[in-house]
Parts: sequence; structure tokens; C-alpha cells
Amino acid sequence: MKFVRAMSFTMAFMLGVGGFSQVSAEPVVATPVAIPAPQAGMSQVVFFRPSGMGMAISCNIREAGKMLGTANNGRYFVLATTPGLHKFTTHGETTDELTIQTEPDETAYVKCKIAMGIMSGRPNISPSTKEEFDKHAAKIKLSDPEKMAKAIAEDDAHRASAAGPH
Amino acid sequence: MIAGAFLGPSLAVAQSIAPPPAGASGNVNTASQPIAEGDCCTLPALTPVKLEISSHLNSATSRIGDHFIIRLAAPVTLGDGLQIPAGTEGVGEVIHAAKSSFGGKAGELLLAARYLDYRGTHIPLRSLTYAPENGKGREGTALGVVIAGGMIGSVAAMFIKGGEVDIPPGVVVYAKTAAAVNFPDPTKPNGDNSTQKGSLSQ
Repeated sequence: MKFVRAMSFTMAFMLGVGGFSQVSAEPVVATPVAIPAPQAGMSQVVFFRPSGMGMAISCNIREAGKMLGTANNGRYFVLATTPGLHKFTTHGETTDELTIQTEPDETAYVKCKIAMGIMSGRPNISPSTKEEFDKHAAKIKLSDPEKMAKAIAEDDAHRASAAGPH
Repeated sequence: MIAGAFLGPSLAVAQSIAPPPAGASGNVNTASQPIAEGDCCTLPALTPVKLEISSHLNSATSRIGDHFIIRLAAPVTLGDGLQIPAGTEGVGEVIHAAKSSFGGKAGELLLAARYLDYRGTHIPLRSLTYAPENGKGREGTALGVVIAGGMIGSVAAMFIKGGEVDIPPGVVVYAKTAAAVNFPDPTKPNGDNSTQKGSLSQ
């Protein structure tokens, strides 16, 4: 009983602190992310990952094995690509695949979520829409281009060394 | 398994459709090419078309590369009273299919409209979506018909059944022509009458 009372008090205190912090915080102005149109004749894909579980797990997007970018928790990146069929993969405890067809002068949206796995998280990429992206747009940020370029370069080097000399 | 057996016949229909040709066929031209001699009418690229999916599709049973039947749900006017009639058949393709699985992963199904076949002339299509040209969601679904199980509250949600995406026959979708198509003049002796004047029932 004492334990229950102590937990109740703790919960009430935490809620109180939360409520106080909300009152005193500056009002958050939601700034929607405006995705520019792709280059004429080209297409682009917005990969985004809303905040959620599996914060420590990156959602690395690959096509034909090559890493294209990464969307960490609450981040997104834009991939400029050619119109046509594209088969993207992401790897965690399992590998998930998504094939989409991009159209000229249009933007496609792909969402990444981390689902619960047995040992670690299971990234899942699924088709999405501009409307769904806009719902999260105020809370997500662009992936750091420098960090992403560095991660891609390291991955390229790793893949090259793994492939060995021909 | 039950769903698979239930959907078996419709999938068999889908698989019996001839696959689309590697390239555009018939009188398909890019928008910048001139109309050939003897052609009367051009269907411009990016013309909105209203379609109906005639096959039964399901994320658990459809396979990537499956073809399915689409039909023109509303006639397309070419000018001079010429129309491509409603009911004109074509082919769509399953771009991505994944059944629901462990971890709360919902079923996924991505579709694309490939072409309408009107009297031997293929009209290439693109940008299949649930929303019309000026409707909500047009840009967001530009990659094709996007139906993900997690999109509760969207139009797609009505097709979700038990974590899978289920598309019954008769669903109306929208697309655009992917390239300009020239049709022969039906009044000329050598024309193949590939377009009709006036009545759609001819």
C-alpha cells in the first residue's frame, strides 16, 4: 500500500512538473517543411521518420546495396532520382523492402518506423503521402547533410573493402 | 489461407493479362513530336483520366509484377466530338505488395496504371491516385495508388481488412496520360476508326 501511495505521489509530481513546464514554455510555432519541386524531368523521394520508439536505431536507406541516406529519429532527407521503378531497402534485425515508381516532376513520400523486434528494432519503410508528412513536418528536421555524407562515404568504403580486389 | 483461396480466381484473371510492352506502342508520341499525316486528333500528355479497377487485389495475395484490368470510368474527349468511350480496358500493375507481419507491420499495396488499350492503340498512363486532379491528396500520392495499413483515417482505410489492404473490384481511381497519343482520322478511308464521333455506344 505504501508502495502504491509512493508511486501515486511520484506520478502526480511528474505530471505536475510536466504541466508547469508546459505553461512556462514558449509557445511552439509549427513551421511546416516546404519540400521544393524536383528538377524538371526528374523525380524525388522524401524519406522521413517520425519520432517514436527505437531512437538509437538509424533508418539507413539503400538501393542495390548502396546507402543513399539515413533518417534518424525525427529526421527526413530528400533523394533526387530518376523517374521509374526503385527498390529501396533498410536493414535492422530484419531487412525490409519497398518498391515504388517515381514519376517525372513529382515527389514521393516514404515513411520509416522502427517496430519492436526480438533482439533489437525492426525498421519498416512504407509508402506514405504528403498529407502524412505534413502532419509530422513541424516536429521533424532535415538530416544533417554533412553527417549523412560522411556516413555514406564510410559505408561505401566498407562495402568496397568487403568486396575485395577484383 | 482462406483469404488466399477466396482471392485465387481474381488473381488468376490478373495473371492471365498480357504484360505491357517494353515501350510505348501504337501512335504514341512525345508531346513535342508533330502529328503524323492522316492523324486527326491528339490526346495530350497529362490528360486526367478517371479509371475503375476491375480486379480484386489484396496485399496478402497480390504479387509484385501482377497485372490487373482497369477500365475507363468516364469518356475522354479528344475534340471535334470525338471520344474514347467509358469502358475502354487497360492494364495496371502491382508495384509493391507486402502482407502484414510481426511487429504490427500493416499490409502494403502499391499500384500503377500502365495503359489503356483503345482499338490497338496503347495510351500510356502514369500517376495513379485516389484523388482527382484538383482533389486533396493529388501530389501526395503521385507515386501511384498508395495504400498502407497504417494510414487510418484516409480514404485507403476503408480497404483495410484485418491488417491487410483489400481492394474490391469497382474502386474508382484517377491517373494521367503519360505521353501524347495521335489517333488516325476516322473519316479517312485508310483510317482505322480508332476514335468515335458522337455516341459512345458505337
